[in-house]
Amino acid sequence: MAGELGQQTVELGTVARQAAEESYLALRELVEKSRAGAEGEVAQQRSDTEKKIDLLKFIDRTRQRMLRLHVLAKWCQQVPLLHYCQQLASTLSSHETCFIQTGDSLFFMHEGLQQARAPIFDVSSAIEVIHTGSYRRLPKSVEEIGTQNTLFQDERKPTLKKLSTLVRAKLLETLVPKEMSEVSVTDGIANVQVDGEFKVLLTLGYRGHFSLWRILHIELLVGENTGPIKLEETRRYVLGDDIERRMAVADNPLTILYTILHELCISFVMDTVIRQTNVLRQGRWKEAIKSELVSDSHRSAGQGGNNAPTQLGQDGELDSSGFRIPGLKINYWLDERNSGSAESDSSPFIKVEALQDMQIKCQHSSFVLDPLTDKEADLSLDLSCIDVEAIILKAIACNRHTRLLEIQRELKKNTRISRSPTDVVLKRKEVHMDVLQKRVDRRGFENCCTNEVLQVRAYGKSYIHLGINIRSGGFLLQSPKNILPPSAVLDSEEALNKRSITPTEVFVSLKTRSILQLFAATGRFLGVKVYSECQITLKIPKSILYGSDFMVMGFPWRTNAYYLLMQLDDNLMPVFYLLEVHIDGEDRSNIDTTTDAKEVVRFNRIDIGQMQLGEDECIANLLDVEKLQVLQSMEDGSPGHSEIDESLPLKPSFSSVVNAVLGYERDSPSKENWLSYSSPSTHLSSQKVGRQGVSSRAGPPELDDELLHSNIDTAKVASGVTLDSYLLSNSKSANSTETSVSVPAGDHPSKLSAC
Amino acid sequence: VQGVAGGDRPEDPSKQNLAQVTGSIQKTLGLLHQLNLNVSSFSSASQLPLLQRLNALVAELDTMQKLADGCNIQVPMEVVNLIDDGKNPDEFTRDVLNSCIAKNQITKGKTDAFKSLRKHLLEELEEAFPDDAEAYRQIRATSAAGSKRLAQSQSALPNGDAKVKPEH
Repeated sequence: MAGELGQQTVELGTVARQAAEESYLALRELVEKSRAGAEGEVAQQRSDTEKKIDLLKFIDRTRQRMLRLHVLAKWCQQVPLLHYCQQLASTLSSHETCFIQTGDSLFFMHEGLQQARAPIFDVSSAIEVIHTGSYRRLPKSVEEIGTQNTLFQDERKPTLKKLSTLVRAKLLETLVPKEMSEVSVTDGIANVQVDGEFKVLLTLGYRGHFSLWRILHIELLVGENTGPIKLEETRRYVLGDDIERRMAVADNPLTILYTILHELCISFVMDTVIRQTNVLRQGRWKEAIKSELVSDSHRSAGQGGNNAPTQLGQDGELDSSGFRIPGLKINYWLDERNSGSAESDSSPFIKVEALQDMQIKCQHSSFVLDPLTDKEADLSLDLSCIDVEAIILKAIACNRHTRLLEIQRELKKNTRISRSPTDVVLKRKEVHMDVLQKRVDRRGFENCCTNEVLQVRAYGKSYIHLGINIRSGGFLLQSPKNILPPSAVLDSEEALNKRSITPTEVFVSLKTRSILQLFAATGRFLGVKVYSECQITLKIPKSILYGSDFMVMGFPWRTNAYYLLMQLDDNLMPVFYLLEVHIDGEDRSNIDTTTDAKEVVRFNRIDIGQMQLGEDECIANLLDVEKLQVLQSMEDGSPGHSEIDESLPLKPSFSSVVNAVLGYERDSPSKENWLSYSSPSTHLSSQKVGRQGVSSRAGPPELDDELLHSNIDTAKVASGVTLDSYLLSNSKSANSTETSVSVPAGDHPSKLSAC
Repeated sequence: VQGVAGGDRPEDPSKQNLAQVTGSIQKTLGLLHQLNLNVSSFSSASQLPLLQRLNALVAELDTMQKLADGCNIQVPMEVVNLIDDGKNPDEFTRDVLNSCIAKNQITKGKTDAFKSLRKHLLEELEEAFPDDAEAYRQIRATSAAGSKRLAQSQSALPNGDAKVKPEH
């Protein structure tokens, strides 16, 4: 600043001189003016005042000038100080220049020092040359030329041995993750394997550092049934490089290795699972399964055939910075409880996901039992052969087993259905049923091949089978045609699937109906007309009805006056009621003219425990005599009546008849035993059953050919004819076989007709 | 300002000259003042003194001029400008001083930095090359002692005591 400040100078003397000069000149001017004024005209003469003023002005100006000059002169006393400061400034500048030069020279000196260093001598090569007279390896700097350096043959073995020792030592000091199942060292190469996931070959010597690992080979062991997944060469190299680099800086290199490769395997596995599920969803299992990706922040659902738009979370994509391997949720049995609500969470599902510890776990939505082990089902994914369909099928089989087991337990509690241990049985059948899914070959998986069904006894050896459809999870009922009409089975199945009734109720109803059907068949065989619902309408008083399942049989040789009502009570024992109905021509007031229903006028319970069988030729009614008399009076009179006689000797009881039939001890061996449970009145349709033929005919002439008895006169019925035990008292006979009465054809020309 | 007795001599004339010029200016100022008084209160009696004074003024101006010839003090233009502007010319002086001080501080900082670098370097050198550093120290000490003696002989105070500059 001093340099800048003091640049332009002016001499003080000059200034003073000029100031003085100017003042003098100004004065002279004044004088001139006044003199000119004086010499000139009088008119131009300046007045005194003016002169004064001029003079004063001059004085003032001069004074100003002088004052300034004075200040300047005073200031000039500081000039030496100023000079000194300027000197200092220049000194400082020179110092600064010196410093700059010093800095520069230091910098260059530093450069020079580098070159002043002693050179690095290749001591190891020198020693080698001294000792052996030649050198095996060129110096390291020559490596950049690019010639390949391999060991000589004789050196190979010991070197490999040394390397193996080194590798082993390093493995001992490194922390090996516990998931690594196999670690072995051969020829300097460490083989590290995790079962079912990957296999890596390692050695030491990453970029010349002998404490760092190098990866020689990576192989993945996860795969599908086509074999393990193949890593491409380039990808393997890139992956290997990256892992090597990370291992070099990590404290636990093997842990890092494991983590990275494990995560890779898990991703592969999940990808495969998702892909397989998608294939299944569009292929065999279309509309039968539904899959959903499960992850932290958001879900994306894909269903059946249509793709719902994926919902994106805040990050926008699945693989964002907070990437977690997504899990998969597979719903099966989609129709279940799908009662109008869009909520699909009620169908069972399998969740396959990678948990926190990066292990893949398959979970089922509910507790299911494995039929083979009777313990909780363990759905595990075999990583080396990933098969999602197998998992699904296993889950379905276990779920089916569990459900059937539950129903079995429920049924067993009910004494109407389960009276012996073999009444309700869970069976595994080798034979596949038509109603279930077509069997697909699966190696070594038994559950698929065996279709489990719950076998519930109807009666005797007839069973009703309850199965579960693999695809839909719905119940399937099946029974032999002769015990139940198919429509009844289908209706029950539908009701069961809609969950409108419980399985217990279904089976009770089906059992009832089957037994009633058996009765009906028997009745038809005996010539009784079985009425189905549409054929007849009867107004039956509700007090005698046990339920809605009952059978009405009529006697065709009577004009619709009497009906036999047959039903089962709460213990599934048959209960018979005789119904009397007024018909046309009789008391019309009893007929409901609005509907066609015939009103039951009288009814009487028939207690078969006390039923007596008529003996000898006479067609005896097996009912109370008293009753018979009552009825008799209502009859038109028929020749059969006369055959009713009270004087029948000891009538054998119903049970004794049966005993005879079945070959048990009889009351009177000579008696012919009749079995008839369809004749309250005089039509004596009796089927003579017995050891001996019955000679006399019985029955009114109007009996038609449908009846057996006319031809059974000479019938010899073998003792193999039996009635089902349920017709007797409480399961006295355990071995019931045939459900219909049959007569050996060889002995008689009887015509069997079933209406 | 270092006042050294012997060194004033060449300056003296200029100083004297300056003093003379200043005196002349002062006289002029005084005369002008009196003239002013005269003129402003002019009466016929004051004609003569007026003329006398005028003459005196002219004479003084002349003196001043003559004196001014011997004056060769250089005055920076800034000062003249300052005076013309009516400001204090000492401001200029002050600015010069301040800039000087600032520069001094800067250079001092650099000096200190170099000193610490030297110290650090010596420490490292001692660690790396102890023998060489020792040799260096000895050389340095010898030369320092020599230069100290030289400095002492040059800067001896009148009473014989040596001026000691703190050695680093």
